[in-house]
Amino acid sequence: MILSRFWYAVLGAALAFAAFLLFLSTSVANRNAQKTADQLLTAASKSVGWYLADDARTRATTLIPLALDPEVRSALAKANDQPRLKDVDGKSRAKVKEKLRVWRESQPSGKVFDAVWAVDRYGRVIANDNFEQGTGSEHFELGGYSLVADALHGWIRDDAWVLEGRIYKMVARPVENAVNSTPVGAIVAAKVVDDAYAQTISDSTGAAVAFYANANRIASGAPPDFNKAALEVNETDIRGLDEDEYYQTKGRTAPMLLRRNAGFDTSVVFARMKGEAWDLGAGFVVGHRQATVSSPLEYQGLANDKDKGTVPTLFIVLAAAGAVLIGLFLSLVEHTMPLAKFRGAIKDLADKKSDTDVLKPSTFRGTYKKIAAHVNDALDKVAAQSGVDRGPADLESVLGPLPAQPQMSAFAVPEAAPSGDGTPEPAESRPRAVPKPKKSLPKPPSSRGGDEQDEAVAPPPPRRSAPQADDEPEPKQEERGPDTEQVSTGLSELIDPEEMGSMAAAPKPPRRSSPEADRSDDEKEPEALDADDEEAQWRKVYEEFKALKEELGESTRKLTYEKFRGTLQRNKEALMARHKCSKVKFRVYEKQGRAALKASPVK
Amino acid sequence: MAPTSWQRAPKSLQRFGLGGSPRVLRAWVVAAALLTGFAAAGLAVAQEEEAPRAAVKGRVTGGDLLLNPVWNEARDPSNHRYTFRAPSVTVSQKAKKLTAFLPKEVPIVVLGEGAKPASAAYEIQVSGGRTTPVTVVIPDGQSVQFVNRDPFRHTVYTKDTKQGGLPAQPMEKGKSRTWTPPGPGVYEIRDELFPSIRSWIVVEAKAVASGYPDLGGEFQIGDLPLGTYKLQAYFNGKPTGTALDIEVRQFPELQQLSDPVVVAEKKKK
Repeated sequence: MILSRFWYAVLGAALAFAAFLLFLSTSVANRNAQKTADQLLTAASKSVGWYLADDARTRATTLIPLALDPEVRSALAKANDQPRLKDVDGKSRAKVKEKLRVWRESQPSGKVFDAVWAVDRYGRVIANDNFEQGTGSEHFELGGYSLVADALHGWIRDDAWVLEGRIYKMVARPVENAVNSTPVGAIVAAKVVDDAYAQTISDSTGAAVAFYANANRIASGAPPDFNKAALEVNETDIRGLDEDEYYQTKGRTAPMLLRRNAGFDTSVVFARMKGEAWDLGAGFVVGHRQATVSSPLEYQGLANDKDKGTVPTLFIVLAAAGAVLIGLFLSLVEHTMPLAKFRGAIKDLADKKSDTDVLKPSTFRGTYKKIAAHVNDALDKVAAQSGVDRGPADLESVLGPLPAQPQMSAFAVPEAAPSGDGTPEPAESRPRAVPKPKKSLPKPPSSRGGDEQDEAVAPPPPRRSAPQADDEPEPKQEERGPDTEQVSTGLSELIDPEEMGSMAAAPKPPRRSSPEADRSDDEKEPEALDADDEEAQWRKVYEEFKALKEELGESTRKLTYEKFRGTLQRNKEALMARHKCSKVKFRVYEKQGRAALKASPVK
Repeated sequence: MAPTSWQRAPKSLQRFGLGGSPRVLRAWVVAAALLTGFAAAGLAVAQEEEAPRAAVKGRVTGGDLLLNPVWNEARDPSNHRYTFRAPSVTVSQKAKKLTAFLPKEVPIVVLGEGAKPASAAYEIQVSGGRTTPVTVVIPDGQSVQFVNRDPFRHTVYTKDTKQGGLPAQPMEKGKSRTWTPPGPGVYEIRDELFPSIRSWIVVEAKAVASGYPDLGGEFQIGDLPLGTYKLQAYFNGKPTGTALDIEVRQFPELQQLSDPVVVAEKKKK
């Protein structure tokens, strides 16, 4: 389960990292969008300002035909000779008025003025077109405005007036009757800033723009995808501009948030209009609708088909599928397969027809190994309580299939040696219950015929039981710790792998299990065999082992020398690697009515 | 309710039928006062009609040296009053100077003894981005009347908000406001809705009369009592130039002043 857990950790870390990136990208996207919006707004505001200036110049140029018209010039010159307006020739005034009308109506669409006046040197209105409010008043004039005064002094310029809550874009130019003299009057024209004019500006600049005066939006124009209502300003907004130093001095605010809506913000730049409107709080505001993402989930709603098309969907699907497959694989390897194996072993153990009565912890891994050891302990406990002695098995059954690489765990020698800090090895790594011999060696299945039938019916070997094994008290686990010491010091004590593996839980064999007896046997062997003739010795051990098994009524049908030799060889290598010894001697003895082997490392 | 003792007429008057009730007595008193007033007024009118009067005619010099403050401020780019301002190349350089508009901005004031306010308010027109006249010099106690001649609202007020100043109030088209300055001094008039409106009312105790030059600088001031006076030009609420001593004689009725009224002089280097 280690890999599975590691994979979960990897997936969790990947998920956390992905979430981190998403939120990070959200913040970055919002910041970049804000920055872009600020740049766009500033540029748009300047563009509108430039448009207004350029438009004023263009409109002032269109006044030239009127300013050069002989009848206009003559009428204004004559009017200057009359101190009182009512004394000015009415016919000439009517002619000028007609000139103004014809000219105004001849202007191209988009450049038409809303009103035009002809003014004499006194500033009096001699004639006008489309502005009848002041007509008939002797005292109505325009001479006090700096725009008109400039024109009457030979200057061409523009202005922005605020009258009755409306903004008028004004232009004026002098009317000259003679070169290098004082102008005889001026032509003044006005364009009302209304929605149409604002829309013209928006169409030309691409900006969403609204004009405000007296703290109210009076005109607005915007691209098709921009809701003009978003540029609605109120008194609070305008009052807030009084505290904006940059607005007060430079006439333009920095990009600022006007309204916060669901999914988008409206950022704006306020700008004052040059002219008298500058001092009257009139100006224009340029807006930008900026989408905001408060959480990564909102991206889905904001994305269009093109955005979705750029997503590497196949890669993401493959990556997800790969992650799933890896997880499934690890789950299969570390969970399903061991569980199935363990389930099979348990099933085999529970099968009445099977002669398996113990589990082999060494065939399992991880938790299943512990469970198998505990199951065996439980079986031993139950058997002991029932008065049945579960005797030792032969070497093969004890060791199980050893790995190719020598591992001392097969003989449980490492478990016999206490760890450096004296901590005893886990009990589960030292199988207390000795696995029964494989079907092929000690106990053929009952279904088999011949010898197997005989073995099945033969009386079982004497089982261990606590009361029966008391001819020699079984050393406890703590007392077995020094065994390894003895081996390492070359005491040549015969090592019963089964005992070493099962440690204190395993009762001692009923006979020839004392060290004295083992030692006496050991002393006889070197005399009979050549110490260097290991092969001969192993063959002899094999013969003895086989003979003892037959003697004890165990089946030897599947016991071959090659297999036996392979087992000895693997255990020899394991012991030599563990104890740094030069030789390993094996001896045959009877243990609880069954044939068993002992290994002894020789320095 | 019975009249009290101090409200009853004396017995001597009751004897002539002038007594009795307090109401009758009050009627007799009012009638007597009216007769007395009419008699006094008639006597005064007769005296004035009898006093000889004359007019003076003169000219001003140096008017081209006076610069209109509003227009010159507006031409300063730092005041953001335009997006572009370009000269017409065919207009003379002299004409391009934004000088004072003499007919409305430079009153020639007759200063002398015996100045008294007129019974009618002095009318000031509000139209065209300024008032007409721009600078007014009036005697103490003289009231002024602002008349809106524009087709839109004006809100004039005195810049100095000291006690007695003119508060800002809307004045619709054709409407007027009358105001009497509280005392001698200079009162600057502004309009909340029109930055170009900047006028001055000067309350001068010796202001007997005033007149305004035309575009050529000629002026005429009539109906002056005989006597000696000073002619003083005013601009932007302040005396400007050099005062000219004059003597108004009985004949001729329109007396031409030999010396001009100097409203401004070039500064000597």
